[in-house]
Order: sequence, then structure tokens, then C-alpha cells
Amino acid sequence: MIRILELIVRFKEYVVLCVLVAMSFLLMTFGNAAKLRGFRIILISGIGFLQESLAWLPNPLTILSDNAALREANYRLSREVAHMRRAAAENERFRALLQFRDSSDYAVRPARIVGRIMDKSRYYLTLNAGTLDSVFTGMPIVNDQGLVGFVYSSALHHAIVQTILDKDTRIAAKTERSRVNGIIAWEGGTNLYLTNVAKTEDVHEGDIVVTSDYSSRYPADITIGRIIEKKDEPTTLFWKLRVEPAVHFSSLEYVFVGLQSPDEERLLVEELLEKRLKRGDINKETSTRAREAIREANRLSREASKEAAKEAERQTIRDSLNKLRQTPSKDSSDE
Amino acid sequence: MNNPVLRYIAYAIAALLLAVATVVLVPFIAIDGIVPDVMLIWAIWVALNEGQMIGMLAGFGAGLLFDMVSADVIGSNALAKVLAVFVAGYFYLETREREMTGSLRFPMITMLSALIHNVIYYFFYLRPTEIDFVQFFLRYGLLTALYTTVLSLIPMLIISRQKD
Repeated sequence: MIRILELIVRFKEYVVLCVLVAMSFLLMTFGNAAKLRGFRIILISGIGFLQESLAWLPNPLTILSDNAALREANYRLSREVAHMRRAAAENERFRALLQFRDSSDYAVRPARIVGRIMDKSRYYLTLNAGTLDSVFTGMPIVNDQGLVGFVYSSALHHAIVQTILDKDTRIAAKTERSRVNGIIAWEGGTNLYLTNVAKTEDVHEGDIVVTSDYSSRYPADITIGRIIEKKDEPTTLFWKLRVEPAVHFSSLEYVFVGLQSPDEERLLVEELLEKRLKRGDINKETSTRAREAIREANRLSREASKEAAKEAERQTIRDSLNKLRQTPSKDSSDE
Repeated sequence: MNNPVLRYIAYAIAALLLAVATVVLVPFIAIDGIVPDVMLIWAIWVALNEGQMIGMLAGFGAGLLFDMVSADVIGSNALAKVLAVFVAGYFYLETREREMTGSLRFPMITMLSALIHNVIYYFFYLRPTEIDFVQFFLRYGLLTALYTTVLSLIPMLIISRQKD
């Protein structure tokens, strides 16, 4: 016992390393994020408070780009306003005529961005609205330019937004012009990619990409961005479509929270399916079932052939008996 | 500071201030989305001043704090920091701490540890995705390690001036 203790003291660094590594792996395997919700809420509240109190600090690196982006947006918007006015009037007339209720309308709530958190390649925003303002986890975040992200976590007065520039981003999307469906994903940098679009589909550079009706998290027809590059990769059957996000993330100040939570049940079912597909359970299950079916078929065919052989044997015996029965009677008649 | 208790309290206060600085001020010095890992520099500093064991505990604590705030797998940041600081701890020389932290060896150790940290961290970070590890690491892992190394020159210069 003393020798063991001496060994532990002698190699204490390695013992501590093993313990800490084991603890990390245990946390990775069994660490339940839901159980840490309370602790995370306290952290988010603290971060939100800190960032809000220091929000007045100007960021010199972004001021120039902000100004340029604002000027450009101003010019574009002034042109669009006139166009939109005409379109809105026309739309109203058509709606009145068809008594068509616009089902895509949903309530929104404005919120100010009080902080940004950059952690490695993740990019979060802190909002000055929380559960007391009816902002809950999962709600979509948009602005006048397009889709920003969704509420990742919400405390009483603050909420953290996970932007679409994240490795976990998977958004069901479609092109506005040709209604071609695909999936928006992020692979690093400031652009997104529209994936799963076959080379036979009609897509062009400049096409606007919007959220699709299949999206479980976001309402349909929110602008995501514009296709800026269409690459033909010879090794795949799909286009590589680079999408420039419609939202200027560096100059974001105000956003709108879509006051509609996603269908939790749908999200859960889709998440479970995704997990099972990733683990390969479904493939395993299918192959196990197939193996069982083949085994059962083999067993039945073996039994059937045995039965057939027995039946044939029985028939042979019956024939032989009949012949034997017939043979003595013939002999006796001859006698 | 000769009293170890006071020294540990100073480390804890420094960690708290650096965590706040990471959240509030680091976005201001981000270059094209690349940010330095201030907490890793702190953990390496602790390892070079107090030894491998204390350094590993500091790294584990700092990593766990980041895991709580971010949406990453809980424990991945802690594991990466523990292993990175374990390697940095090999360079600890008792009674010659200032020689290590006040010379160019400090940024070199930081670079090595940051690279180890990023390899482990991005391995777990990208595992559930289809993103190419090598490409992603070359883009983010290397640049983050480089930026962390550049930032580690500040404490090195302070100590080196004090030595002079």
C-alpha cells in the first residue's frame, strides 16, 4: 500500500493527467447539456450584462466597413422602396380579389445586439431581449436583409443567437427563381454553400436563395443569400454553389426575433433520425433483418426439401407395397 | 509573491479578468474571424511558473468554462487544454521560471501548445460534420495558434523588461 502511494506521489503529474483526461472523456460521453442549463443561464446573463455595459465602445476596425455597407444599403433601399410600394399595392388588390389570407406572416419583436462572442470558428450574438420579452430558445432571427440565425439560449433579459455562419448550420433552402431545393451549410469563411443540388437542376449565379417550406426551424421564403459561384466538380453529381449571405454580419445592430417557436416534436423526430443515420443503426437494422429473412428462407427451403424427400420416399414405399400386393395375387391366379 | 496561497488567488483573479476580456474585448482584435486563445496563454503561464500539475488543473478549469459558454461538446475544450498544458509543463524549470517566461522560449512553447490544443479541439469539433479536417485546420487552427503566439509576446516582453 505504501509502495503504491509512493508510486502515485512519484508520478503525480501523470496520475493527474490520466484523471483529467478520463474526466474530460466522461464529460464528453455522459455530460448532459440540459442539466447545465441553469449554470449556462447565469453565465449568459453575466456575459450579456458585461457586453451591454461596454456596448458604447466603438470598434475602429468595423466603422469604415459599416459606413460603406450603410451607404450601399441606403441607396439600394431607396430604389427598392418605390418598387415595393407598387408591388404592395398590387399585392393588396390581388389578395382582396382572391380573399387570400397571407399565411406566411408572423409576429416579430425588435431586439438590439449588445455583444458578439467569437469562439474559434463560431460566431454568436447577444441580444438585449430574453424570456421576459417572450424570446425563447429556437426562435428564428431575421433582419431587413435576410436570415441571421436562431436563438441558441435565452436568459431573463438576454439571449444568445447562433448565426448561420456555424458548422452545425443545415437549412432546407430553395432558389427563388427556379424553386430548386437544397441544403445550406457552412464550411468556414464568410460564405455559405448550397449543397445537394444535382447538376441537372436549373441554377445560375445571381439566383437568390431563400428558406424552403421543408425547414423545421425557419419560416419559408426568408432570404438567405445569393449564389455567387457555381463550380462543376467532376467527381460528384452535384454543383458546388457558393452563396453570399444577404446579411452583413459585421454591421448588424438591430434584428427581429420571429415570435414563433419551431415544432419541438418535429425537431426531435428529425434529430433522432439524423443521429440514427449517423450511427448507422438503420443500415444495421436493415441488414440484420435481411440476414434473418435469408436465414428463415433457407430454413424453410431445407424443411421443404426434406419434406419432399420424405414424401418421395413414402410414395416409393407405397408403390413397392402395391406392386408386392399385386404380384402374389397374379402368381396365385396363374397357379 | 512568496506565499503560494496569495499567488494562487492572484492567478484566479487574473483568470477571471482574462475570461471577461475574452468575452468583451477579444472580438475587437479579431482579424477575419480569427481570435487568440487568451486563456490558453494564461494556463501555459501557470504551468511554466507553478509546474505541470497546477498548470493542467488551470487548463482544465479554463477549458470547462469555455465548454459551458459555447455549444461545443462538454469536455472537448477541457481535454485539449489539459493536453496542451501538459506538454508546456515539460519546459518548467524550478527556480528559473522567469528565464522561461521572459525569453523567446515562451512564445515558442505557446506555439507548440496552441498547435496541439487546436489539433485535439478541431478533431472533436469537426468529428460530427463532413468538413475536411486538414483544410479547416490549416485555415483556422494554424492562424489561431499564430495569433495566440503573437499575443504571448506581450507578457514575455513585460517579464523581460522587469528582468533587465
